[in-house]
Amino acid sequence: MMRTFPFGTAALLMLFCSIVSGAWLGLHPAAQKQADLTFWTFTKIHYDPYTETIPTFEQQHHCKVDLQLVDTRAVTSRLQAAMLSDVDVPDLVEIPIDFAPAFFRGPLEHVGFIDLTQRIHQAGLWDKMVQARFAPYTSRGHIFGLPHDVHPVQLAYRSDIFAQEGVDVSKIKTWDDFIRIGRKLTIPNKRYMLELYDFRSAHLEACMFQRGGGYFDPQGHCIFDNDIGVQTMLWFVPLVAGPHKIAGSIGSGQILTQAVEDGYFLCLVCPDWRSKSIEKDIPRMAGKMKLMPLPAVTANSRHTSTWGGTMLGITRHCKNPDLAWQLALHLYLNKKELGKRYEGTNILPALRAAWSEPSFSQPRPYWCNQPIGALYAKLAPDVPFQYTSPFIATAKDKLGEALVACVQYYNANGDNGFEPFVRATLKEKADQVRALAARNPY
Amino acid sequence: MKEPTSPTLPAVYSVNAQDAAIKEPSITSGQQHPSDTPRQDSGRVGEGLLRVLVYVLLCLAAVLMLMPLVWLVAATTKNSDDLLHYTFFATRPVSLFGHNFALLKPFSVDNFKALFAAIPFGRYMLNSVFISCTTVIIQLFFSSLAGFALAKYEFRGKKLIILLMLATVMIPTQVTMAPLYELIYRMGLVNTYPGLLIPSAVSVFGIFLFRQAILQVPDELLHAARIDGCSEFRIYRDIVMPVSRPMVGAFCLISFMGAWNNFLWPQIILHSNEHFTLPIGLNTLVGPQSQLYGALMAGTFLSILPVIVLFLLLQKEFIAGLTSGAVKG
Repeated sequence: MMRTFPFGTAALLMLFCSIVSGAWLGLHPAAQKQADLTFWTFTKIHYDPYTETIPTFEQQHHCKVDLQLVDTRAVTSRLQAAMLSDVDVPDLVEIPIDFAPAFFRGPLEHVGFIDLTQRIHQAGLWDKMVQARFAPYTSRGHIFGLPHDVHPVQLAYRSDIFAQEGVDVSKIKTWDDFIRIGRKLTIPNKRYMLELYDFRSAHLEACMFQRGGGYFDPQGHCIFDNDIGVQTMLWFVPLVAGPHKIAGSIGSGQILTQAVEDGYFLCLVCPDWRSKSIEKDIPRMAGKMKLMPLPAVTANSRHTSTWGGTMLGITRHCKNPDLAWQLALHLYLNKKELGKRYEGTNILPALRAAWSEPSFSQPRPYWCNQPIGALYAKLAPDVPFQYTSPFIATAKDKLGEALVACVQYYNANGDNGFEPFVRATLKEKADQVRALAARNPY
Repeated sequence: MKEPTSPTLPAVYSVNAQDAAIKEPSITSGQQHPSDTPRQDSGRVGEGLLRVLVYVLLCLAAVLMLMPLVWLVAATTKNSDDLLHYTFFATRPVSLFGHNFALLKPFSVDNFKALFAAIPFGRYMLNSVFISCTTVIIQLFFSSLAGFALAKYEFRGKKLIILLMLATVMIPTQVTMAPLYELIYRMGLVNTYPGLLIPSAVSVFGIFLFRQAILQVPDELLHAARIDGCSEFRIYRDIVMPVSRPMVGAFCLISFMGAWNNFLWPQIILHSNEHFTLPIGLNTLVGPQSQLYGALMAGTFLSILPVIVLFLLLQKEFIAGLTSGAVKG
């Protein structure tokens, strides 16, 4: 056979594998799905609990829901391809906060999602949910998405080291207090008070939000070069650069785990979702970690910020928007389900009433028996508004570029001419975002 | 017609002829050649040192290249507590005769259990095997046929076709995604295996590879076959392809790896779990808010095994294919 087969051993082997695997797949075909609603979600931690709760909805409404797990990047690329070619568009989609606004561009009647403003007000969700969380999914006064979460930010810290060093966390009220203690505890190249990114905008933006700033104003104008932006940068950069830095970044995954275990970083910026990642990725620190509210900027200002988020939208192609809306309510308003989901994810839902579920006040052994759900819930009403625009991804990149430039400048020159440099750099980067927005035919 | 045989090389190119032509002094016999001088000795020492240096550098490069693989294997053997704690293998301290040693911890299969609990790995693996092998077979058939036509036939517009094909190589795949998606949707092939197989049925790279390989086949062979009454397809099947077998091996491996690792298009076209290939399936283990690193490492390790096995099986053909035509003359 091998001698007579003209393409040689390699091709024969391929042909054999193709026939055998094809035969098996032919005998075990995928189940045909005739669904009334198609629903895409992008993360397994949403997908798994939804597979448990959707059958109840199907029974109640005598319908079939096709739930699909679509990778984060694929959500945007596939959804964009589907919407542009007007084919195979799902009925409901969950999209991460950074990608959602790209779908809001164009005249309102051309936005790919249904305007949910009226439904939200009619169902009383505007008052039942954390209002700040509607902002990222709002464009020109119209709400296109239901917020999945709140994502308040706290600081996770090594309580054992703090205790050894005699640090009383309850006395840390403001960032000034925190920095003062940080200067004492930091040993250059051996130990830093806090993990802060000095190469991308995620932590800087959380600090900017805490101060009431942001990338865009409610009308979608780029504003990260305003006074709040400048002051935040002037405050942030000396924390991660120069001779007196108390923070830095080292990477993620294994290296971050080892850095926390070795006491290289004493504190981590910790939104609710990251508390679960910390539990999983740094299991040896169980009973040694605790959470504390974010230090305030001034004595009476907010003790939290926000990082990340997800929205649920109903696409304009949905043939049965009422049924889709019912599914959205089933997933996002069922208190008991939300309580169960919190246990697996640590993610605080946007529905305020759900926070009274017992699971949110359960002490967590990993966090020295702190009831972390209740701690996050206490901060949730103060979560800052986060306005957005279709150009949010570019704005984040540009702020990241500005941060890198400012860190380099500060390392080389210190305070000498730093403020004018920060102002000029932020303006330059914000102007690039504005130019891009102005070029947009919409 | 007789079974075709590979054309024999003229005697001047045979290995024996080369051996006869180049008589080097034996360095293994231990006998000093009468013409050896101290200068030649120091030259040999320098050559030996250079060789040692080269081998040291090659060893370092090999260690560097293998490091990620060792890291991956180590990651699959650790339990969740140790996974991110140890950089490589997990160890435990042992005290022996007053000295402390680090011994390897017993390997854990937790990550493999987690992998099989989290995703239908077997199904993904079969999907990948089917898609990759079928893609290779289809590409091989069409690419070699087209390569044969472009190498051995003269027809009007041949140069234009080659130019057009070259032009398609210059268009980024991403640009064609939206129209291609619409086309596949209109054909009713979204979320199907043909939706993956049809767009990759023809490889311009493969066509050029085979065209170049088939250009080396002497026209006299083809003419002789035609005189014997051989049909054009049979010439392709019984003469051209057997002579081009090294290239087939190389192409199979390159094409298989491309299909096996393909991520973007399957990610767009496949919607249901039952159709996912390995890269898409494994990717569901990592998301913005949850990462099952251990399961991902185990899955990645298992997913590279077929490629390694295939390379070991086909390495002779692969290297022969890659080096054919490397030496001119």
